[in-house]
Amino acid sequence: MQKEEFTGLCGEFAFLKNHELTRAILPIVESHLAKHNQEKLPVVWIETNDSGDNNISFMNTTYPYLGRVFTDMIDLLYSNTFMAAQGREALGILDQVAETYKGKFTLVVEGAIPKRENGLYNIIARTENRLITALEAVSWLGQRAEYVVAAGTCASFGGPSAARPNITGSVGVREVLDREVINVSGCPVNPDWFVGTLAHLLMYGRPELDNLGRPTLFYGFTVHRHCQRRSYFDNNDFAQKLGDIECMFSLGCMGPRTRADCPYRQWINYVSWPVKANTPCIGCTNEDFPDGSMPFFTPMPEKEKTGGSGREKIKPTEGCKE
Amino acid sequence: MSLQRIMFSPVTRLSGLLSVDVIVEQGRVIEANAGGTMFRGFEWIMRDRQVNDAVYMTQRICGICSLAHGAVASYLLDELYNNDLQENAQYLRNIMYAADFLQNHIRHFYLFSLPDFVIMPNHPPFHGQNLIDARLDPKDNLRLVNHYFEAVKAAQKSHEILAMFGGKAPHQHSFVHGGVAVALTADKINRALALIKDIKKFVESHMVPDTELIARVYSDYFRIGITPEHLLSFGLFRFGVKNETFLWKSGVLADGRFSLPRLDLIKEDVNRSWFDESNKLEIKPDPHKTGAYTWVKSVQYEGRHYQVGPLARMIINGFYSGGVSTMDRIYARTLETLLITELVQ
Repeated sequence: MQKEEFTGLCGEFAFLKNHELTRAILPIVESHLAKHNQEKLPVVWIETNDSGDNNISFMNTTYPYLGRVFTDMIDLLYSNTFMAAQGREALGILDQVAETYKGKFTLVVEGAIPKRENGLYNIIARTENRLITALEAVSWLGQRAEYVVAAGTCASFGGPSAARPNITGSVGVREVLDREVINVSGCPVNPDWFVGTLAHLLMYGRPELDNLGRPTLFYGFTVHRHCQRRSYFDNNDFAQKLGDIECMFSLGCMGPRTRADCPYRQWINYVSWPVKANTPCIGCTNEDFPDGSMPFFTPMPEKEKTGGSGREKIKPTEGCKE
Repeated sequence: MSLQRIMFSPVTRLSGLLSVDVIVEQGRVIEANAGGTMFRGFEWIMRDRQVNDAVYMTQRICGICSLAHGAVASYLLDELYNNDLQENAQYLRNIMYAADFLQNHIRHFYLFSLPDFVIMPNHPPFHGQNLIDARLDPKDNLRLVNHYFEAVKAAQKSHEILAMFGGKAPHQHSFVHGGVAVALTADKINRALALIKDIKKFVESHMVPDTELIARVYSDYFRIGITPEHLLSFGLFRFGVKNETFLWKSGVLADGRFSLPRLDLIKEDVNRSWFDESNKLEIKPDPHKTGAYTWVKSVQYEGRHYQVGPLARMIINGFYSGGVSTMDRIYARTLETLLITELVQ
């Protein structure tokens, strides 16, 4: 509201009683606050079949640190890892939140969903008379959420939890929900990719996604493209063993067909990443991780021949130009 | 006579999923079945793969203690290939191992345990806290809440040390068979030292006094959760050309008698676990098995259950002389954290 408008209003209401002026101004103030005071993102976090590495990775976020994420960015309404409530009351919170925030909350799933045996391989909670499987919980919450975010490679594509022989029939979240899932893959997910995706949802809504449902902001280019050791690759100068300073392609590096910004971004307060530690990238953000990356230390063109049975055919040249 | 059943589920603030089914008779717990309710089948996943892959793959078993799994795989590969380890590599391996321990213990105490003693701020993720036995005075309570958020940073710094040498965390890359892939250079030593000084200061000025305060206010917790005094440790922090020496020794302590652990005395019992034993050569997962309540296998040593972890290590090595209760376990974890910060430095 402009100053002139405000003084005009004051003049108009100068002789009226019963808080008429306040009544006229309050809605304008409220709408201004609603527009300019960023609300927090309501989040429901379900842990399913994974190692819990993604919540640990989330705890490693710096600027914002975890405390600030909780106070300024998200309302973490349910989380097996962080919530203070426990037992039946914790489950009560989940029911209540799913109702109160219907259509408004972001569902974060950490882990793959076992489908075999009706999902009995992962039970997120029990009551005296029934079991709640991850399959049931994610299917139910997935329909009610505004956004669904898969944190880590297990939740995105199955990952290590679905590695062969996959006796639990584990799959990524996208295969149990008939809706869009934002896949923030990685084993674990880099805290920046995850917190950054939540920040995007909060500030601008749905981020631009690649053909695997991943935010292009983080997964737009291959590791190979921005690798500090790219010149070694271009000059055919390859490492002989772990610990060498040359290109790790000879030791099984998956950089040429792995999309992630690790070379720029790095890990844990941006101090290092696997190639900087003189070891190969093992392609942990990929749809076919880990089977498609194994054996980890065998060069890409030979992986398939020597026993790495990826869920998709390995095309050694794919991505090399990027 | 009336039996009462209490299903405590979900047990929150842990790594993984847990439900506890308790049967109470006339105010006395007569049965408590702790059920681990997630199953991935790593025993099967690890088969028919290149053996070197075990260092990275086994770390995916657990996110909060990932390095320990990779370390064991590395030690086994060292044995398999008859590797000779350099002294510097052993030092660096142990610094990385220690950094992951610090991260784990600090998070365990503050992020997972503390909300069982402290009234947390009434906002997510702490809303609806059903703490029924809060005893701290408001001033102490507020101080410990603030320490929760400082612990977040101390744990992050611990992982920063690990990532400097390991490339990333969890699931580090450079602690592998044969040694370590990263050189221990002056710049990295200096940075790691600065980080460990911060962490040590946090442990000394916060974690130790906070543990002592809780142990004092909840002193009756020294009389609950008492297990038989059967303690087992496989030792920690290996040195030597063949990983043959341990800084903290291994041992078996049963009813006051000490012996060295023997692998042939370990047995897995799946009687109450969701596994079908009808084929003697190979058990199979069976989520429908009657009478079973968990995916966790019951591991026995000489036919009995043993306690492992910080308390066992501390008592076996003579660093702690307390009992084997709930509060002793918490106390020993903090003591181990303090000792590790001193060792790293």
